[in-house]
Amino acid sequence: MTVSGSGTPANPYVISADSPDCSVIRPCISAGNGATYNSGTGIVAARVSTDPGNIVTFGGDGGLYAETDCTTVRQCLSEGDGIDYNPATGVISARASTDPGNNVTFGGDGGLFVPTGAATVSVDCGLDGDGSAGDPLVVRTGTWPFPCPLDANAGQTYCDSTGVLRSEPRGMAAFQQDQQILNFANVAVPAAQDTPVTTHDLNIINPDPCRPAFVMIEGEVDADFNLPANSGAALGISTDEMSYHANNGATTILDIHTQGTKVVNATIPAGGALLFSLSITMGRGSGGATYNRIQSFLRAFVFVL
Amino acid sequence: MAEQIYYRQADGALVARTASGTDPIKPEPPHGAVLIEKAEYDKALQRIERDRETHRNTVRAEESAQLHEDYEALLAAGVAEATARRLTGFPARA
Repeated sequence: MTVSGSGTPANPYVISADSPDCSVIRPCISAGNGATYNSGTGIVAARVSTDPGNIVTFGGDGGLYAETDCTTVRQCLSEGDGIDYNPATGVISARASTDPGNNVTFGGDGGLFVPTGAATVSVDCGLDGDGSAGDPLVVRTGTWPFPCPLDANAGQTYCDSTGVLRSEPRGMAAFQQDQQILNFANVAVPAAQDTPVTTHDLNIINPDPCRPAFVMIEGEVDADFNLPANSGAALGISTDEMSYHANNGATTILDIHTQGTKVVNATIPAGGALLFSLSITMGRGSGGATYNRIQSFLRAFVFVL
Repeated sequence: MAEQIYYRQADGALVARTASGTDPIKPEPPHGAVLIEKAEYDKALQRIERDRETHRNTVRAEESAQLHEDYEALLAAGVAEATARRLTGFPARA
């Protein structure tokens, strides 16, 4: 390496080197694994192992060359579930089970194929068809026999938490009765018309937690009067005077009684109750008329349909 | 199966209540009523029935006596016996 010039713009430094001396450099290099090196010529080449079984050689072009030995490689593979393997040819294929009822086949293009509707089933009550494409499963139903439109009037079916088909709630009917007997010493019949003398209550239960109940309520009242000569007494329910008795004879009528009945309807919300109160009235008491017994029935006919 | 309760009301009435039906519910006594046992109810009812019967007998006896008096008065006034009997109803027909 030489340096010339003075370092001025007119005469700058020039650094130059001569060609390297290979004989000096070559001893600086040595061969490692997989390589050969000739320090005399400076030629570096790949080194092929001489161990038995090594398939790496030098090809015709002088490059490294390894030929795959399929026979050897194929022995390294084996077939597992769902696989068909031919170690002689090395062909790997899917394997369809030969168990009866298997619907997996090979399609025309050689791929796995399950034909539509191939999974047929046996059906029992309530179902028709076998699930094939030509005979799909359908629910077996009756023919709507009513003159009204099905869509607007039919009920529905539902699946419960266990997967069982269920219909709409079952119809219910219930009956409640309460009898009340009041015994008195002889009590004067009030003079004012429709005077409440007692009540009779019935707590009516709707047993259905789902739907409102239609209720028919019957109230029946019977009172025993003692009517001296020239007396009178009336019996009623609420503001309806339902009977009046007068004694125009010469002697007392003892324990005369009349039974009156009224029927009303009501609706009770789902799961609810209705406290029905019957007001029993008397009036037009005169001439020393008295009563000594009031018997009443309340009957509730509950329907949930 | 029936549900029964017995009580006395504040107005003195002696009451028996019986609930029946598909699923009878025990009745509730009205406000102010006092529940009593069936034995007490039966005893009190017997007393009431006895009082009623006594009252009936008293009324019948008094009115029968009055009718008899009227009947005798009519006879004394010269009214025919059949007419007096028809007018007064005395003696009462069995």
